[in-house]
Amino acid sequence: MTSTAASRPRPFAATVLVATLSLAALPARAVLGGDVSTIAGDQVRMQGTRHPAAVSSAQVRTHEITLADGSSIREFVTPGGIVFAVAWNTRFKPDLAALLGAHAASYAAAASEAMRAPGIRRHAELRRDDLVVHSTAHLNSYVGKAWLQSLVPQGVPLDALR
Amino acid sequence: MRCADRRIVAPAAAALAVLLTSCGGGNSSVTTITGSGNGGGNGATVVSVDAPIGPNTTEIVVDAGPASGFSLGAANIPYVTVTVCTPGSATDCVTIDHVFLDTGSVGLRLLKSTVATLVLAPITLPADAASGTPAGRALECYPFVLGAVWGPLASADLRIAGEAASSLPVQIIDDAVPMSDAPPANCIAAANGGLQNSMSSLQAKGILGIGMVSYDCGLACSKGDYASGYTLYYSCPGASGAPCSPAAIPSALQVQNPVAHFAVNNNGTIITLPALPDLGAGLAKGRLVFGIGTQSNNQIPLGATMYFVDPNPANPGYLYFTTTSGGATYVDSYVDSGSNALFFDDASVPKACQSSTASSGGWYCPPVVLRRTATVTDAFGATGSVDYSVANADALFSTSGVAFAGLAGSAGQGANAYVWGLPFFYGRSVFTSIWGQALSPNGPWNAF
Repeated sequence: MTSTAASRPRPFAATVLVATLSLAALPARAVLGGDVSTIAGDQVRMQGTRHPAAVSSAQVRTHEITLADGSSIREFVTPGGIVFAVAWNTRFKPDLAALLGAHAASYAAAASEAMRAPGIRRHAELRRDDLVVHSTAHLNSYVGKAWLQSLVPQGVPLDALR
Repeated sequence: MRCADRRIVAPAAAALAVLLTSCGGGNSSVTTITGSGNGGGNGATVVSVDAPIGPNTTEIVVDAGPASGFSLGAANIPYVTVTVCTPGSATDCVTIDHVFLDTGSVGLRLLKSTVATLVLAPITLPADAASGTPAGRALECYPFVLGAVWGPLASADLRIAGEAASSLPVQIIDDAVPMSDAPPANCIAAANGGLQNSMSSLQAKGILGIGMVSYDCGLACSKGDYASGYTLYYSCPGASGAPCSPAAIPSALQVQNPVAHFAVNNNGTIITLPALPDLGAGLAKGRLVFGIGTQSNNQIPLGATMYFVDPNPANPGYLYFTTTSGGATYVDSYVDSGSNALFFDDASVPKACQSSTASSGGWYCPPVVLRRTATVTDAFGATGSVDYSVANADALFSTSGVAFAGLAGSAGQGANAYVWGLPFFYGRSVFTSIWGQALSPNGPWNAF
C-alpha cells in the first residue's frame, strides 16, 4: 500500500490527516469491493508471485497471485478498478477474512448460522447481505469464490468466476 | 457393478416381508426387510449388501449415529467400527463404533474420550531452524469447509477387518471440557469460530479418512509453509496451555492414510452400498473392501471406468474432475462419502424447502422424484454417464429414515462444484485408489 495522499490531487490538510489515519489502521490487504491497488497487499501477505492482469472480457480484468505450493488467488476487477470477486484454489483452507476485507463480518455471520447444524461440510454456499461465497474442499485442495452481487458487471456469467 | 433388479417391498407392508434379490454375477445380494415397525415411515426398512466378504472386508452402516440416547440428526453418514491399541500391545485396546468413513479426507482421527483408557505415545517434533519450529508435541488444526478439529498427534495400532496398521500417526480430537490444549487464534479462525470438539458436533466418534492420497498434507507441511491459508500443524513446546507455533513436520509423522500402512491390500478401497427405495431406509448396510486387484474379491469389473482427478497441483482443478449435467459444466467435481448429499446448481428444481436455512443454498424439493443423467469427464478425457435422482428433501426428512439416495442440495447459482456425496454410492461399488501405492495405473482416481 504505497499509494498515499501525496500522489493524489491536493486535498485540504484535514482530509490528508483522515486518509493517513485510515490507511495506518487497516492492514494492507485486498478488499472485496475495494480498489485494485489493494491486490498488492495480498501478494505481500501470501508471499506470492503476481502476474500481469489478464483481459478476461470487455468488463473484467483478472489479477492472479500464485504461490510456491501451487495455490493461486484470482481477483476480478471491473474496468473502473473495483475488485468485485475473488476466487481461490489453495493447499490450505484460505483465510477468507483477509480476502473478503470489509465483508468478512458478513461471511462470519453466515458461517456461524450454517454451523448450527452438526456435522462436517465439504461444500458451502453462504449468502449474507451483498456477499455470496462458494467454498469447497476435496482432500487438501480448497476451491471457491466470493463476489458482491451488486458489483458484478452485466453479462458476466457467475460460473466463469474461478 | 450395479444391480439391474432393485425391487423393494413397499414400506407400508403390514407384515414382515423379506426379499432376496441376487445380482452382479452372484457376488452381492440385496436383502430388504420391511416391517410395520414403529408407527409407519421407513425407519424399519433395512437394506443391505452382504458381499464381498473376507478378511479384507468389513461392514459399513448408515444409521442414526452413535448410540447415546439422543438424536444427532445424522443422515447419510457411513460408519465403520475400528479397534485401536497401544502400539505393540495385543490387549491394551478399545473397539470404537460409529467412526465416520470418509473418502474426502485422509487419516484416522478419534475423539479423545474414546481412547481415554489407552496409553498412546504422543508424537513429538524436532526443532527445525529453517522454519522456526521449536521442539515440542505435535498438534493439528484440521479444517473442513466450515469448522475444524483440533488436537494432538499420537502413535497407535489400528485394526480393522483382518487388516492392521502399526504405529500409525493419528489425531486425537480434543473433546475435553475445557479443552486440554487451548486452540491458537489461527485455529479458531480456521474453524469459523466453532471447533467440532464433541460427538454431537461431529456426529461420530471419529473419522476414518481413506481418500486417494497418502498424507493429509505432504510437502508443504514438511517445510512448514502455510502461506496459502491457515496453519495445519503446530509444535507445542510446553505442557498443556503453553503457546504453540506453526510447525514443519516430516511426512512420516503427519496424519496419513491408514490403508497405505496395511501389509497387503494397501493400494485403495471399495465402498459398496445397496440401492435404496425412493423414500430411503432406516438402516443401510454395505461393505468396505481393502485393496484393489489384490484379491479375488477386489478386482475392478470389466464394465467399470476409471476416472482420474487432476494430479497437477499447479492446476486450478487439482484433485477434481468435470461433471456436465442439465447444460451446466462443473469443473470442481469429486466423489465423497463424507458429503451427505449431492450438491449442484439446477435452477429448474424447486428449492422452497421447509428444511433449508436462510443463509445457505438449501435442499432441493421437487414435487416428484426427478431422474437425471450426468456426464463425468476425467482429467485425461475419459467419459461416462451417471444416473442420479433428486427427491423432495422435506419428504425425506419427514420420514424416520436416515439413508437417502435422493438427497440433493444447491451448490449455489453459478457453482463450479458438483459434489457426488453419499447418495452416489447407493447401488454402486466405488473404487478409490491411493496415489503412490503399488497400483496400475497409479494416480488419484475413482472407478465405478
